[in-house]
Amino acid sequence: MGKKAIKSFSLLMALLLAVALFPACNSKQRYSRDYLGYFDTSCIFTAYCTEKSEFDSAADKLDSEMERLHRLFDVYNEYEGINNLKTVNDNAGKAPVTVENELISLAEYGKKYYEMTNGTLNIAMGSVLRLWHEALGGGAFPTDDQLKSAGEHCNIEKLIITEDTLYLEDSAMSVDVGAIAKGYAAEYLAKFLKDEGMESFALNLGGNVITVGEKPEGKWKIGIKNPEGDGNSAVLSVSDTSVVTSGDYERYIIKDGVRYNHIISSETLYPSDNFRSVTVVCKNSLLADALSTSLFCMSLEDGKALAKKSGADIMWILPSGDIVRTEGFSEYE
Amino acid sequence: MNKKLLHDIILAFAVIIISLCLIFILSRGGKEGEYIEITISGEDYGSYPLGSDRTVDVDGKLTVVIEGGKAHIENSLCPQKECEKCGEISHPGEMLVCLPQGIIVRVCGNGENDFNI
Repeated sequence: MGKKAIKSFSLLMALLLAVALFPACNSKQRYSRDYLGYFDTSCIFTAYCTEKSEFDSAADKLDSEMERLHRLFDVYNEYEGINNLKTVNDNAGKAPVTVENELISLAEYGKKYYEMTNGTLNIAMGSVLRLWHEALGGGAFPTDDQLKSAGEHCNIEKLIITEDTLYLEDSAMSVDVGAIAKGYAAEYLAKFLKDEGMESFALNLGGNVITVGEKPEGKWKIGIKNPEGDGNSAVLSVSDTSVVTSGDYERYIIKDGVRYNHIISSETLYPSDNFRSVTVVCKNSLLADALSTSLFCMSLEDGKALAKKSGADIMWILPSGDIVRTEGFSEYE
Repeated sequence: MNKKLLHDIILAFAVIIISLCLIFILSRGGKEGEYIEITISGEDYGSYPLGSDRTVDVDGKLTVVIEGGKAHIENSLCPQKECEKCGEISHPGEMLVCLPQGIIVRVCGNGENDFNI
């Protein structure tokens, strides 16, 4: 065999070796786990890890944290050994309730976003939301009178926050954090997973997506459903960013041919029908969640002003099917 | 130029090109864009990428196992267990059906998105 033949044979071997080793260099695998029991929705955790055991361990810890937050934010069930929002609501007009830091922090954010949205986002309208919750669950449809009288007990000033207690001064009022709980949880859980050493993952808490890092092949791709039917109205490429959509197609009932969705306006006390969906893209998942709910209940004009003030990028899908975007939104498409 | 050297160069280029093709094929993993869609009585139950292994408990009625880019049904509560006998699906358009329980498991294409919300 000539020298050159040996040379090219060696080259061939080296290249084959490189090909064989290639998957090992890029050996992070994609793993996913579903969680169906929390926040009244389905949640998905997707991550790229070198070992399956690494993913499983993080996913197990995530499960415990999600369960803990779910129990704290629950307004319908009580759990032994903890004071949650149901405990706070049950003690309305009676006594302050000592709660975990997360609930204090969530309540403070609730007040902050009430100010920011001029009252559109109100975590103190639990009395109204309870009526709609029953209707959406197949129960009785609320009457005008019921809604009106419940609406008289939504004064957020009567939610008193101290360093470690929450107290409702009005015995007929109650707190419901549905508009911001998933955003808070997403932000909290993403930080938890980062502290656990996760670098490339995404969490979807029922339409509330937070992404951390990138996938081996690039950015995360989030499709925004077309409310009219199949497929997506937009596909966003993001990393280290949150995407939250509020839509009238997620949860609704139809009564006498009219669709009633689950996003209730604090002004009319009825489901808002300004839009089919509103999508918010911004760094902070909690802000994104608060904005998507509020913008869904605001006029497009007010919403544009709020979008500008908050710095978030928004896509509104109008009942006509027309799409309105902020300038920065297209950069993700 | 020496004829032998020329052959060596051609060989080297051929090897490089074949290697690049192999790298491309291997790194794509084949199943990235496809996902499984599960419906119960026509209602969406969930969508899951075919590219990542997992076990989906479908409302306690049956289990869909996604493994190595293929999906099949296990532990169905239906009497005849026909759905478990359907085997595996992996190509867009293929489906598994559990008629008694109204469950359809379908492979869908163009699902290169991580989540659709």
